[in-house]
Amino acid sequence: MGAEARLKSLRIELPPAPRPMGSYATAVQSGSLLFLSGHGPLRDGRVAYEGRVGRDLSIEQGQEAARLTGLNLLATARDALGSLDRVRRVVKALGMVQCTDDFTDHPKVINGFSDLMVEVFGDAGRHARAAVGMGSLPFGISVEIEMVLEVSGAATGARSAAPAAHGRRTTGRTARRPRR
Amino acid sequence: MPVVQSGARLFIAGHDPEKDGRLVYRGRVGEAVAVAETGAALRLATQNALASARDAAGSLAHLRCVILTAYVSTARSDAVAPGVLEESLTLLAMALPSSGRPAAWLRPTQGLAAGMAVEIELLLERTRATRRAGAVRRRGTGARAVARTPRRSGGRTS
Repeated sequence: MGAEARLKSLRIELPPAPRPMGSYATAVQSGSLLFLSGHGPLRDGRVAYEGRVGRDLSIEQGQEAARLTGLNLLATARDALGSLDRVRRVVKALGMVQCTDDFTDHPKVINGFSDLMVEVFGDAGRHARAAVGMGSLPFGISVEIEMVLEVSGAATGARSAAPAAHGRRTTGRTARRPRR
Repeated sequence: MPVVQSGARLFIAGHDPEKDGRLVYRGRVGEAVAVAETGAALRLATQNALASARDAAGSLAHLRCVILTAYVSTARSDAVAPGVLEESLTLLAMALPSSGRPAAWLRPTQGLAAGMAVEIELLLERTRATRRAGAVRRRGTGARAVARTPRRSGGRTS
């Protein structure tokens, strides 16, 4: 079963693709790799999970934030690729948790994202990862995640210039093609 | 997963500074771990990352390092001075004979998984097709240091 069919059978509806919050791209394809900028737990343009895990948010709420961030990343990937069926595998993720300085359960929080990838892509959703703690993240978001996908087919370059009407925003990491 | 291969590239997940199943450098640098130990902690995590890379690739002989990412759990700026990477870069140069210098990304963090003081991620690339069986093991000091790390125990990942 392809990723799009799997999403349907899981009754997961992706949000509109987030808009960038500066002069960067939310996704850049280089060869067979698609690099996605840092995304956050935003819903309808608003931060849905704000604050520090370990003080303002529980681990479970952190996991929900990571899952929502994953849905936003998938929305960006679908927007960039046309269909998530072009995803051959999830390669790599960096999960950042805004947390107290004695918090050490970052992996549990980011599992909210990783488990979603396995639900949607099966074994191809398993990835290399680092889950780390940050002192501050943009807009007070509790979780920020960057990821790299391996995809089939050439870059379409057909991303719409006009932002989606209800598009959410990504959180300020710049993805640029290297100058040659 | 400790390692994901995509085309010629190997993405090595974040590895901890552990030895024989024990997290050697635990706590934040500048607090539980001395700033002077940062380099040694990063080197140990790099060694564990290389052990996972060797498990996945069969040999380190034809790999080059594109990016070395080092996370340091600290509030201290001197713990993330570029010099703290020297020991790791020296190990990489010895363990990966066909590698030039990698790009180095040094990132201070608020804290790391399970209390690890530092964490190392690598992006490696095959310089040519590597045969899994019978691959030549280089005799550099670094390769030996990596070879001493038992297989399937290249540290924990986050």
